[in-house]
Amino acid sequence: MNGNGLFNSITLDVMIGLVFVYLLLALLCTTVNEWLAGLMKLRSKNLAAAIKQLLDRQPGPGGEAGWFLQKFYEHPLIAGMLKPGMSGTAAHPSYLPSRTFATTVMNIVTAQKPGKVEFKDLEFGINALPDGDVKKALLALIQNSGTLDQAQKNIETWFDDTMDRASGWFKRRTQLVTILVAIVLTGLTNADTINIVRTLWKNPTQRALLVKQAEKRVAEAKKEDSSASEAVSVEYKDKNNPLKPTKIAKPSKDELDALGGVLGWPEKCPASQSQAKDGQPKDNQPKDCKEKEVNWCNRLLGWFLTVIAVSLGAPFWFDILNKFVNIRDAGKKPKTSEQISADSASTSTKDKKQGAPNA
Amino acid sequence: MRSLHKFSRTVAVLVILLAAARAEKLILSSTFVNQVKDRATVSANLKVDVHPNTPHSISKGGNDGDIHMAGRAEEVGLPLVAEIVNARLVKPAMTRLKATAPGTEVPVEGVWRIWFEHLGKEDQIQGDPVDVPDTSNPAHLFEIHPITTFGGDSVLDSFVDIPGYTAYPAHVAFPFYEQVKATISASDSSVTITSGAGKYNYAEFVIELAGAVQDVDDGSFVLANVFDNEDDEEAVTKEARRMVFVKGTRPACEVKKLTTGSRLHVLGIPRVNLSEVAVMATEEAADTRLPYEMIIVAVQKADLTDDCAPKNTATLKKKGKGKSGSGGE
Repeated sequence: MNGNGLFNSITLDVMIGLVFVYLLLALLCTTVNEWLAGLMKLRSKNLAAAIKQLLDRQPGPGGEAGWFLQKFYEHPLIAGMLKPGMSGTAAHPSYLPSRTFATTVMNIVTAQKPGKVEFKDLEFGINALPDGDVKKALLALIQNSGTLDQAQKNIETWFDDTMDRASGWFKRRTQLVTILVAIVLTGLTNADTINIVRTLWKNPTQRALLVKQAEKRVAEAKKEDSSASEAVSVEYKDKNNPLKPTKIAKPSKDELDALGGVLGWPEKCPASQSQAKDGQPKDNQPKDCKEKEVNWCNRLLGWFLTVIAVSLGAPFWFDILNKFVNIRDAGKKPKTSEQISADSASTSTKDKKQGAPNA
Repeated sequence: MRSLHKFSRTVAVLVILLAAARAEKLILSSTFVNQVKDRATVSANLKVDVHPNTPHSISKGGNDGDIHMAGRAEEVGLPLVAEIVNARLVKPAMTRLKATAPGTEVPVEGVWRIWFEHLGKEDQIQGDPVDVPDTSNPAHLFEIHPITTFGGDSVLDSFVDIPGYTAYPAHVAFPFYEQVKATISASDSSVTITSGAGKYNYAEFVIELAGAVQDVDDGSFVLANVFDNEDDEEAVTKEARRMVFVKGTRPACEVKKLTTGSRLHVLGIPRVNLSEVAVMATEEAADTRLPYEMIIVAVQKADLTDDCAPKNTATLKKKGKGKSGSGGE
């Protein structure tokens, strides 16, 4: 390879190394994110907010604010779904079938009618509600229904539509959590993009190590498609295809070890020994002490770039990595006959050295 | 007195350790694994050797209302037990079983199930001669459970909740299923699974569909996260697990009406997921998680819909015949 052009060997390898670091950080970020979403009960909170939006603005017969929402949660069908011994969103279910929602709403509205309920009872019950958003919505929903079944289906659709919007809120919240997790992860690991690029550029060993791990991951992913790779655990990449399990691709120990060279905080230099009188670092100090003073502007910019990159998600970086590794493989020049003979000469020398004690 | 107490405690610990360390090796033919890994059921001509005449009582644990029959089948080539769930509900099949003399060959279809529950002292190798069992529940790792047709009698009606039975709750059963260890390896012609004792046959849980339902010849598969019916926030599985539905059953009908994210309260039993085993077995996977999937036996009453209710017996028989190809009445 010559050293010219954008895709010369070093530039490309630095890019592969950087993308690989982003990929592994994004995978770690996803794992933490999933754990946090469960811990923070995001789904329950989301559902509670959606139900509140639907039912809160309906006063009771005496003008009590939030009357309908309160009746909804007091209804046995819903109260039975609340977690016992808890209160607030901790007790709130994270999922509510639309059928249960519609049945509960209709039951509250027709509470005055004992026995079998008919469509006219529903209509009467809705009309009997004081003016409010729920009354308006229900009147609109039953307008063209004519039967109790159709009215129930319309109310279910109303709930489902709101839930579709609520899942949009959930996604946005999850994205926010992802960014927060990415910020914490970046800070904890000091994943400074500018420093990573500098390290990879200057340190061929570290660069080669990351490129090797990146190529290994891409190669294994290709093998997964044929289900013929070494595997100790599996996953379903496409959740719609339960007939095609493939090997799990979470960060391996080797990959995380490889990150150690480009991430992490430098060792703190002892103040008295950090520099000799001439301003040069002493040779016996930790390697990181030899680094120049931290440029916080660069570091903040580096962190910012990492946070943005990590929040793009693992699939995005895996695709990019795949492309770069393919370019690298395509760009490899076939070995010349001199190189091949040089390689074999060095191999035979190595073999002789290894074999020497037995000779 | 104190030393006696210490001694008995040590013995108890040793007994527990020995029981925990007990593992059995199952060697399956690769061809068989590839044939059944993405199927719900198998068909076999079962030589019924031993069977009781009455089903288990119904309360909890092993008192599950099933009826066992121990036997041998060339198609399987392993010690095996076949079980009809909810046996009291399927009278024609029960009458047929009662009239079956030891050693009689009966065509049986049902869900194949490998689970390391009834361990023996020896490894089980598919294709090796199988001893004639002397009890209805001998050491076995392979089951046809639940049966879907017995001697031509469809027992698809038995895929309903077991009245009066208390299944293991998800927060008890699934943490166990999730941590069962195994060693899996393969040669050109065989797949070997070594694992310790499994338990918790019937679990009650809520599934949340993580993807679309995929149909196969004899049933459907879907990936789903699993929740306890008393905690719908935190899944009891680390990731979505595969659920198996048998064609022609009420659960299979109910699940097809659902979309990703929908939930269903069900009763199920675990089996080894051979589809995952086949992927893992390409090289030895030591001390790994035993891959499992859940056979859905029933949908809990509250989640049943009228659309899937059997209209009448005639329709049901026709349905069973048409869909599973099993109704030979």
